[in-house]
Amino acid sequence: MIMKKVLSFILGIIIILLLAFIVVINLPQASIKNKAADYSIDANELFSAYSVNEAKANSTYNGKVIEVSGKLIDISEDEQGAPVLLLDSGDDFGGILCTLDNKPKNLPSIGQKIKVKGQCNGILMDVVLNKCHIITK
Amino acid sequence: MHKILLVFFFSLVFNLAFSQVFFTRTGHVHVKSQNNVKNIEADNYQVISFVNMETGEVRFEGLLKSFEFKLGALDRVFNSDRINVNQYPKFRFEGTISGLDRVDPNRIGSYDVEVNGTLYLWDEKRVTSATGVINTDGNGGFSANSDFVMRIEENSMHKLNNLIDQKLPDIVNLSTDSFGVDRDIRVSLNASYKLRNR
Repeated sequence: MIMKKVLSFILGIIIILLLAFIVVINLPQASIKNKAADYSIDANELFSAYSVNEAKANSTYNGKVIEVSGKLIDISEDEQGAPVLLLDSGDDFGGILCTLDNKPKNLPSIGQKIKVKGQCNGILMDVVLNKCHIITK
Repeated sequence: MHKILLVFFFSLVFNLAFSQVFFTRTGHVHVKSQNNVKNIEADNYQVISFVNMETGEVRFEGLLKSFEFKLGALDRVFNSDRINVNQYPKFRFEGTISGLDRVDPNRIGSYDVEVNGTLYLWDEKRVTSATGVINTDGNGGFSANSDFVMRIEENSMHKLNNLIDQKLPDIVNLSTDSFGVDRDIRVSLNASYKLRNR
């Protein structure tokens, strides 16, 4: 009788661990849609922060969820077909690159002032935001 | 680094006044490492790249934080504040493509090419060579694809596996002997280039 209870307990633990493992393994990818923004900033200001002191900007903004406001100057698609918005930064060569998490029904128009929320990943030629959502257009 | 990139770009433009520099902001890098439980795969769709059609110079640069892991648990950990990559936030590849003189972006075609260069990742640099294919679209643009296997140093493999060990939820309770990255990382690159106009 005791042996049966011990076996049931062990089996229960194994099933719980297995279920937990399956849940963790199948977790969806990270999304920032429902996360509050750590910073809300203008596109020019964000680009300027990285241009002036990249290391300091990295430690402030990298990995953080930020809301960026700016003028839309280009729309393209990346290699998986996700919309990529480029916001004007006031710099001739770089902007704020925002890859959208999903394709909205209506994309904003070039020249419009928009606000985008995304995860800031650092700077290449542009300041790069990923997993973005359009907040206002 | 931003300034270095601009200097590189300007040197490409000014040193070769009549050369054509092609560019993309949205190149794709896919990495895959096999293990006994579940392959670890990640994609980065925010890679910038320049190709100088006259000299064959090529450069890729991307941010480590832009990698999206197929395994949701890893993706959540990697994209959280718990993983700090600020000391080495980027990877880059600088090299040359052989055989570009045959490629005419204004005609539809497919060309086998060879790429040789150096990959810089964390504090390591690795001389890499690979074959690739360039497909021209006939409208002044082209796409480039290359697949290769990158063998990482044993201590880099341990560094990555220790990170996975520390950061994955304890409930997974897996050893990185069975669930870690392997020394051989399969890398696929693909990018669609246009003449640089901004």
